[in-house]
Amino acid sequence: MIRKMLADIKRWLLETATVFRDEMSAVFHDVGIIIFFFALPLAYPIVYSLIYNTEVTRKMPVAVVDNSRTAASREFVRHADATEAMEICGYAKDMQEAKEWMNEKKCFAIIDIPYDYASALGRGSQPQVQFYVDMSLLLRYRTFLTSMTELQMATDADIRNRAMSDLGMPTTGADTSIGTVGYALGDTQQGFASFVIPGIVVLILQQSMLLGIMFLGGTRQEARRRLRGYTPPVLTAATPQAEQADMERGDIVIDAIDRGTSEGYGPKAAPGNPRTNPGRFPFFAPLTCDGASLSAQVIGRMLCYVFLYLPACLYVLNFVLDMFAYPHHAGMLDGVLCMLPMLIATAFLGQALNYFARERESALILIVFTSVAFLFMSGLTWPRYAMPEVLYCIGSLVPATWGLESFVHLTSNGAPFTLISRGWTAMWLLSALYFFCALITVRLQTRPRELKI
Amino acid sequence: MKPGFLSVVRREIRRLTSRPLYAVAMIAVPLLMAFFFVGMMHRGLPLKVPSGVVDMDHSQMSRTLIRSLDAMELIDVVQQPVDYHTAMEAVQRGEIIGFFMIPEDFERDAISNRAPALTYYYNTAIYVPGSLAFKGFKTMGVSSSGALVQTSLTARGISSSVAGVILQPMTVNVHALNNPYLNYSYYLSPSFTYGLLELMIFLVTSFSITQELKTYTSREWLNTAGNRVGVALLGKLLPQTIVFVTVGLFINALLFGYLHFPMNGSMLWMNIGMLLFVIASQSFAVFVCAIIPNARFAMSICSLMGILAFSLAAFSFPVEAMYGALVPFTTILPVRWYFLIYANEALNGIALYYSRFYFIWLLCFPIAASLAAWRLRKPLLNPVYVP
Repeated sequence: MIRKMLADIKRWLLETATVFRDEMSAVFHDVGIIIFFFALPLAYPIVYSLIYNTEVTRKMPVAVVDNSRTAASREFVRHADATEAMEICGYAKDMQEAKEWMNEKKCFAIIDIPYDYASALGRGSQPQVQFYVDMSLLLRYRTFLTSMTELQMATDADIRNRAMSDLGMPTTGADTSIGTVGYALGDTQQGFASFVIPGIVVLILQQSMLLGIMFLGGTRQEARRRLRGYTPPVLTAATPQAEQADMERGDIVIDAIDRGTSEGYGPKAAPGNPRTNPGRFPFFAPLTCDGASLSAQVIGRMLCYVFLYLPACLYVLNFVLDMFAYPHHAGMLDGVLCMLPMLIATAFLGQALNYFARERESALILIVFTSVAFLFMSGLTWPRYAMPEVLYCIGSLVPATWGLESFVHLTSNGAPFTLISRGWTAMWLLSALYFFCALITVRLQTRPRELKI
Repeated sequence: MKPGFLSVVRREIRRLTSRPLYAVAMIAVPLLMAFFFVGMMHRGLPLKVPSGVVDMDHSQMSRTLIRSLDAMELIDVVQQPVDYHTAMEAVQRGEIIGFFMIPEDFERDAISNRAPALTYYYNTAIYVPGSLAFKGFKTMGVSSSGALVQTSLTARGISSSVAGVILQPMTVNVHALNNPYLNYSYYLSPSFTYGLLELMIFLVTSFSITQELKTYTSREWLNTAGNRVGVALLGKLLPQTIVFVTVGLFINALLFGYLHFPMNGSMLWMNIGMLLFVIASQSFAVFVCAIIPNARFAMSICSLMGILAFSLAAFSFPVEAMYGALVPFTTILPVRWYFLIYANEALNGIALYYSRFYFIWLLCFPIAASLAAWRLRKPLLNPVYVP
């Protein structure tokens, strides 16, 4: 009994190893897959970094409508010009001209100083400067707002101190009764790239792997259709020559299966209904006409994908962040360890989704757009606490949601590994879930009735 | 059936309805994603940022401060960690976005003018709620400091109106033009929905053309068109144009008609822009297919540009802040111009005159595609599928 079980385990391990080897060769025989698995994770982070690498937008043109034309108003405008966000692009003669400039995109904001600015300051009646901001981009508004708030507080303090000393009061008392100090955590420079890239690289890992697996799955289905239900040990894509060869080989293979001698996978493949193959434990039993048992197929392929992604993982999670000096507080191994369950879950998810991949190219149509959806559901742009319940739940089923959250906390906030246990556990649970989904897909795709010609 | 334009159209309609993939990619995905975006951001701003307060003082003043913080629309005090360390761990765990620290002896020091410092920490690694937490904390810090100064000034015999002016001798009114609520959805929902529509147009167009090469049906396609590449392409793309424009108009109706997104200009020009935008996106894909008539490369380039468009078309990070070398790439994306038309027409409602160049840019795409289309003849006659 025990000996039999050990033999079955050994056979299962052999099958897994064979699947692993065959999948490797399938990957490396296909330029398309090589591009997805290697070129994409290599190049995409760099491209995104180049787009966002300037981090902030500064020196945005601002028009001034100065109805006061006094020393005080000019001082205010000079200080505005000196802020990080603003660069005065010119004095417009009136609001009409300033609006014209804004419509022509010569400026993105207008400072409107009232005619009684200086005199109101003098008599202490709180003049109001109007600041109009174009809202076609939120980032511009945010930068303007920060600079303008600081400018107003500095101007106020300046004027106040003068007024207080005029009244004969100590200026210190008013200024410093309570100090406030703010500290940005994580993305301390509040740059755009430093916020976006650590999250995006995680998503790139998942999406490129999904694309590659779907491409492989599509190729496999194409081949299976050509070979009338049998999966060739070595995948070849559908060139005319290969197709011809496959059609011929299809007959041979089907003969071989009928005789129960198909080569490629260790044990004899049981034709017909392989479930009835006696004497093996169900989990290890070869359930498919392709020879290897379902679990061996799914796990063998998963091992292959995860193995191939480890170098990319190291590169993306360490070198990219270092190259562009993004927040990088996660240790080299911490990052990879954090990503491991995500890669495993993704490898299974891809195999489960293979059900929808009828041919190579449709994989692109079905997967590419999900990157945008997954990016949003991960909570990087729109926080998860503000999402509708439904989307929150769907988002929880995406490995990258947890991977992104965990990795951002690791690398940007310097969280120790123990604090990201929630996401890490979730990714392992997803791995288990998608493992079973993948089993179902493989079972459906390779069910014996496809053998009927 | 006589070869010609109509037979190509008929053939294409047959192809489009022959498998569910097209319906999914052309109708289901763009509409689903439109609902996805507006549904996700229906609150406009992610207010009530989960935050913590570390109260080391436990005085009446500190409790008032916490209550006022919690009452702000920006902040939701969900935790009161005992010390800095615990609060920081909560941030690292992702339970709170930021926290506010009230130091020991805060009330005593504040009243006796010994300048205690309120500190606050906000996690900008999660950008939007981090910024909102910053705004909330800063407002609270500044206003409580102001209230205290006002009290001390009035205590010295200055009338409260004068004290108010002393506190803020001048003010700046910031006007967020045409989006006073700072509604996030006003930017992201339209721009990302259009970007997604563009991506699907890229993919479906290049897929439907290269699939003919892959399945060796291209020669028959060309025969149906009477051996004229232009007729073949127009006949193939027209049914798709109609479907995509219908989907696009539906999206516009959903956003501006049903959900009342700001529409300060003319709906007519938005819809004409949509027509041009769809044609421009198709032309982009045709251009790519004509230059590289290879299923994998053409579709990869289309998906690459379609995905990068979400960053390059500058919906969130402005073009003028990017490296100059990237600017040409932003101009070759139709969605960039349609986004600018949206900002001018719908959001700002300014005259069409200011959007003239955007419309001209959209018209350039079909011209470029028709100039390159002749290159498709040879691969269509001798299809080679390179996987």
